[in-house]
Amino acid sequence: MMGMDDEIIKEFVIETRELLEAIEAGLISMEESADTSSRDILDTMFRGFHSIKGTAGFIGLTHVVNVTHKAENLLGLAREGKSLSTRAVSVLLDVVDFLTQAMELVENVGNDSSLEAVADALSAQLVIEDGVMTGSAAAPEPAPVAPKVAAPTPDEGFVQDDGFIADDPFAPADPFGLNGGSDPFVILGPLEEENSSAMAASPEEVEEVTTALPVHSPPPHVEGAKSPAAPAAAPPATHKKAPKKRSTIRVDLEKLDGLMNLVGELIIAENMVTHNEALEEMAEVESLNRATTQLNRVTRSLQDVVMDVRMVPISGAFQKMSRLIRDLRRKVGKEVRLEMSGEETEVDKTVVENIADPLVHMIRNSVDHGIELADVRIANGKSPEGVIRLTACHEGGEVRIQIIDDGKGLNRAAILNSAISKGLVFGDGDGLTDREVFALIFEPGFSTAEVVSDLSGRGVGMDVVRRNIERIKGRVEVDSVEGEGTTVTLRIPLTLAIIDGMLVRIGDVVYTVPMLSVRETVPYDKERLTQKPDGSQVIRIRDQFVPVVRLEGDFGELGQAERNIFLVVDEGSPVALRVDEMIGHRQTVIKPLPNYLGVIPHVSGCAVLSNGSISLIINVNTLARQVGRGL
Amino acid sequence: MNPDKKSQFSGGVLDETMDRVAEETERYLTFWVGEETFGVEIFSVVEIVGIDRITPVAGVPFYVRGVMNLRGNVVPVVDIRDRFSMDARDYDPRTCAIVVECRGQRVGLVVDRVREVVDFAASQIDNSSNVNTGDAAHFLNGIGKLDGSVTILINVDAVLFDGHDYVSNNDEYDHE
Repeated sequence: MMGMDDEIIKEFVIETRELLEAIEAGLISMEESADTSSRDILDTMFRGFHSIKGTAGFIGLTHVVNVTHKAENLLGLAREGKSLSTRAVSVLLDVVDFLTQAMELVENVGNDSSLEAVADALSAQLVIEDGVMTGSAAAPEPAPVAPKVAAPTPDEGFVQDDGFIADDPFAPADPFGLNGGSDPFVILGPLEEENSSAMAASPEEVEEVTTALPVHSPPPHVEGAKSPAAPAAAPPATHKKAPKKRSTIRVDLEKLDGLMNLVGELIIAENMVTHNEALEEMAEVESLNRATTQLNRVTRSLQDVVMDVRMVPISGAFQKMSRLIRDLRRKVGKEVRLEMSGEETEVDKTVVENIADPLVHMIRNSVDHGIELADVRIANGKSPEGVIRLTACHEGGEVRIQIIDDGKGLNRAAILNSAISKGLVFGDGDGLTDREVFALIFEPGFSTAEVVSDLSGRGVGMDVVRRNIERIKGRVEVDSVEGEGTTVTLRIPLTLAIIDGMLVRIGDVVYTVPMLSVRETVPYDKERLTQKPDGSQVIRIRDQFVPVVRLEGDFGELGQAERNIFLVVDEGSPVALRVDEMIGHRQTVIKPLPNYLGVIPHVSGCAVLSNGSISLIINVNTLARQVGRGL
Repeated sequence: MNPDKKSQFSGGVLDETMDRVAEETERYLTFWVGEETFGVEIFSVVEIVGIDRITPVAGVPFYVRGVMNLRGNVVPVVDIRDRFSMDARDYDPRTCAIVVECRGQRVGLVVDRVREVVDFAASQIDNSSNVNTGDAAHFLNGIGKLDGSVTILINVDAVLFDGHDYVSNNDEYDHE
């Protein structure tokens, strides 16, 4: 690794991760559709492994080269029409995991040397599959279940000291290469040795050799009967799709952020010019008006374009979920199917990055605690196979992501009891809506093991889910019908860089309230207000009571009460903000609160106003939580 | 140890040369707060800006006046008077903020008036126990003496971070 250009390694890691995503998607779709012969997918995967191998060899990652080479061989065989067993697909998924792990190491340590044992174990399995495919393993099945990656069974026989592949023998069942003539890749052994010590054969070379050789192998090994991994039922073929190809360039996110910042400043500057008081006297001058209108239009389009650049389809995050479901299905022993829609929905890059972990958490929860075992489902008149639907779509200025399962749903009474015993709810909680009760599973105190085992599940780390979602300014809602299933809805702003805000004045200070959470405004009316014994207030809006949040004092002194306005905001449970004036609706650039100030409750960030002053953005989520639940 | 004392006892040429070599100067930006002149290490100064609007922020330490907009960036503002428990004073056109950078953070320090840039030789800075007294001692690098004038040299790191809890529990913060 001496003197290796860091840039190359960084580039390699990024590229490999992208290729792995495509390969994984291909493998999963093969598994789902129970069709392992799709030429498109095989080609993509073959090319993926090949290019990883090439660069890995250049950087000197011997184990990566070793494993990818064998994986490539396997796919090469499949491309020739030999059937890829479901077990082989499974092994290839292990290869993807191995490479993911390797990339982490490469990124942090710079080499893959600590992965030797895992690499050897994987290689052994790949060789076995190779043997099976070439029919050379007419001899005994190696093992009923493929050995796990975690249990290394190093076989030095086909890995040289330097880790580079010297020869590609068949499965142990065919140690002497008796069927050698049927495997075109045997020829590649010596060919590679002639090549540079780090680079394996190019695809052209592979192609040449394979086409030059008459293939007279016996019919593909019959699998299925012995394969424990075969899916119980073949799901609809709609899942089959080849990964999309896009022509793109890679840009450092920092550069984009810099551009975004500049555009933000430009918008502010433009505002300062076009709304300048000095210009008011010249309002009649038409050429000036035309010029400012033009300026305004161009800056808005520029803003749109820059925002658009940061948008990527959410499929990156969704893809990981198919893999998760597949692994969970095996681990938990439940029959679950994942249906996805709206993967093409575009969101801000940071959203994609931050959404994956919460999704994993919630889907795992759905499988663990939501979906029942097959016999229970049948007894309840459901189909044995549970379905989790993951959907995304644009709704207003937000992206809505839903995780819908058809499991047993949440048990309101049990959640309430637990919450009362933990002091999260005062009183009997009868006045709480279902949604408010279900929201309790996101309370930090709620996520304890005993709750999970007792109740209809959920709760493990759900507070972390909410925290993560709130970090990207989103919110979570849970709906559930006992016995029928649970729906978790995430609403996340499309972008984290611009806020559509309602400006309000409290005393002398102007605050920004996210437009998306504003429900309505209500003028001051003594009749509607009720003062409770503890001094807190509720306001009656139609037939509903909404708690009033006191922002005054800390946030500024309110003026004359009769002129106050109540701004009802709702991000799950409604609260009313008491303000002096509604100034208007503006789009502004969001700036983070300086670190020096630490975390300020009720403030999620800053917005720069057109007059150059800063307005704090009110965090409606924490406000709503501050008023507490129960009565 | 103290250069002042040393020069009293030695008169040789060599000693003088060594003194001169040892005498590194430190450059300070000086400013007025009330009747006193203060100085801040020039290397931590980013720029000096006039004060336009400061947005108050709830729940921050008493010496943080709020945040201001510095060309699109949000910068917290610390009032030196508040920090040193001096009497508050209305901002006037000469009131300005010295934007300093410390521990990777930019903060505006509100001062009455900026004065000038001064070089202090080590021998002109007294940080002996005589000046290191009182509650504010930990905020100071020492006292600079130059041509009969006295400058209180502040330690920016201490002024910004000594006892600065990121999350403040101060409910008494008074918003004007």
